[in-house]
Amino acid sequence: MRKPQSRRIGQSLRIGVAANGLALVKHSRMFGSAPLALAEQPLDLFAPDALAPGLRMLFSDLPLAGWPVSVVLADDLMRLWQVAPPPGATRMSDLEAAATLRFGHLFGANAAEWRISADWDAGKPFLAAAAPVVLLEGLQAAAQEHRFHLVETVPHFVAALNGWRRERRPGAWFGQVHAGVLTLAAYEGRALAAVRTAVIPAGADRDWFEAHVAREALRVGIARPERVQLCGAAPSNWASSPGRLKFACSLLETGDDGWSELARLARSGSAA
Amino acid sequence: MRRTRIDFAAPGVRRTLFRTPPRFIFFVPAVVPLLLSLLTQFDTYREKQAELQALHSAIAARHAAPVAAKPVVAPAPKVILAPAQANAINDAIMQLNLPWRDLAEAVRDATPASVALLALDPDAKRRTLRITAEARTSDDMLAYVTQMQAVDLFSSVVLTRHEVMEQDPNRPLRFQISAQWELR
Repeated sequence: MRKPQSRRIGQSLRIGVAANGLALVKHSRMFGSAPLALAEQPLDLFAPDALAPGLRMLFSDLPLAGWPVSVVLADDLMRLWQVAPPPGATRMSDLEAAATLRFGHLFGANAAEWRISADWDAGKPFLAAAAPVVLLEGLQAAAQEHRFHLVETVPHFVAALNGWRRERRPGAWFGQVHAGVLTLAAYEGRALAAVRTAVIPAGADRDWFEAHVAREALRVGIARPERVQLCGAAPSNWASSPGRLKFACSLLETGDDGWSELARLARSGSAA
Repeated sequence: MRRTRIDFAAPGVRRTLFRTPPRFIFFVPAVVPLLLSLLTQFDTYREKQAELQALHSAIAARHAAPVAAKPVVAPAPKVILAPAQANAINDAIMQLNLPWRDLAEAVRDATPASVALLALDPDAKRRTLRITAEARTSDDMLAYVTQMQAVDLFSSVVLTRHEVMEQDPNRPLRFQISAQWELR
């Protein structure tokens, strides 16, 4: 385990929270320094009261007091969905009600146990996310206990969307491969049309990927993209190869950089 | 592409600072002199405001000055009166406060044509009115006394004296009534 040392300007810590463990990464927003994996802690997050002791063991003797900390929550802990704003919506409460109704309709979960945050937009469909209240409260309690500043708590896919936003091309679909799951954001022009998730079967090659993209385009009811940009540990054979292109696919990062899945989760979004 | 603004962290100064793009640090050298200049300007503004306030106060004080110099009214000198003087003054006041109009009206209204009023003599101190009158017969006199007793203004009406005027050829009956009036 490495120590974060004293904090310099622009430096912050990132915690990755997944169902099977936690990871801590140091990151600097300035001077272009690379992220540094500090610690990992395997645990079963669904076990009762697992988070607080897990975080304690993750931090163990790291002096975190005063550090700004971002938390990246794995997508399987979250709910992500698209909300169409109600016609004539004028108040924030209209959008909140629409998001809550859609959440109940899609997932059938008790909205009181989830906290909803969204990229609110009264004019066009927007992306919404829900996180378990218990998990958020656990993180807040950990922030108070270890005296760090919780400055950001984002879903993994949203962290990737924001992290790669400078590399993304208008109209291109954006995808993320993590822990054998492909999450795709389908765009129609600049507008986000849908977010779809699928488990990647063993041995999935470029053909499977093309068929999957075509299927999702049909399902969402939009045209197939001209370009798909993928981040995470995507198979290298999904990248565009000359001669047999239905759409261009560019891999924003490679999956063989020596980072574990947990550390990669914590690192998500630091590419911004 | 635009940032997707989904964040579950509680809002605060730290979060705002964290969200501020790092490139903003390059604006600091430009912003700091601007802030200093703004601070100086604000300080000057406050000084000017204070001066203006003082000027307004001075003008207000000048306008208020004549009002403040209002002549002081000297207290009235104390006059010490002898008891006899005080009694005389009190008697005069009582006489002035006599409800003369009410008494005269009450007596006039109660006096029939068969009775001739000769004199009305009020005594303010005792609240008594002495009426001297003449009647042709004793029945007229008694009727008059009864009528006077019915007047609300008087608490008691008493016939104090009566005599037949022998010198007068009509031999009228002259009498006196003492009527005490009530305070209202």
